[in-house]
Amino acid sequence: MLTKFICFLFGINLNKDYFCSVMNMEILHNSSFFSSYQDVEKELFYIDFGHKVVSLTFHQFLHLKHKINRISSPRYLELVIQKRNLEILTLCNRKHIMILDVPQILDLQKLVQNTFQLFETESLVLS
Amino acid sequence: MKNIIRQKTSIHTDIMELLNEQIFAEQHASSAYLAMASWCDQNGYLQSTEFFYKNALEEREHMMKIFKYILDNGGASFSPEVSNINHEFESIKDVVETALDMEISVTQKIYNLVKECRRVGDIGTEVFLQWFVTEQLEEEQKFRDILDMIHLMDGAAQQFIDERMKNYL
Repeated sequence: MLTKFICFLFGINLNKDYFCSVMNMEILHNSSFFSSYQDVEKELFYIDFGHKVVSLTFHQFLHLKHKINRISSPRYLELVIQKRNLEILTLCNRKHIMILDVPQILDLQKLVQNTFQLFETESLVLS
Repeated sequence: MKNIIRQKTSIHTDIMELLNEQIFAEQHASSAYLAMASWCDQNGYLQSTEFFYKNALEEREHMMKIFKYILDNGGASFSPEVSNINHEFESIKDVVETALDMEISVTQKIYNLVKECRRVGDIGTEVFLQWFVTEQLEEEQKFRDILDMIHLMDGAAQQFIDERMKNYL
């Protein structure tokens, strides 16, 4: 419990297996920079940004999907590259602010897409 | 593995994304009809103005229908940001032709949504979209009828064309 608290408080990047066992979380997907998890009991999703772990409700996760799809479109990315090569992403009603460069934007888009795909494929297989 | 997403919403999340795009398309159509109404009013086509006001309202209702459908089924709707609305037209015929093109484009988007629903097995949304398919066919035909009327009245005063527009209200 104490580890759990310290981990969240300081955003310590623990070993993924250890992290899952301590936090009662299932790993969903790993991309180059980020990882996604779910906590079935609390019905929450988590994204490990490396320096910080962010918990998201289902609707917050949907908002992230919508935002990341918008900012990873070719037209938007072109604007990002032309201007400052960085994009500010707010999460969970502006509780968290992430500054992402283009490779990170594309990587996060892949992570979110694949995480959702995992569930949708499972639904399809079960039906 | 417990599927939290399926427990939270009945809509396939990729379809939800497309439905949000459709919300944008319907709102864009509503704003475009408002621009057409404005042009008609400024050029003295008063019946046509009323006709396009009505269409703007209908498109907004379509948008709201999708907006509420997503929320009623546990999803997240996003308020659309609409820009680049054309306010310049050459004639009343140009206005109607633009409106028909826009309706065809909306119909095509609905068809693509239905096809995608079938591909991923989102039967609920496919059934919901049936109403939109029928509605779009009616909308397209309405504008074709108006274009036929304009063609038949070729050479007549523009005022007479405008008078006929009340038949389509």
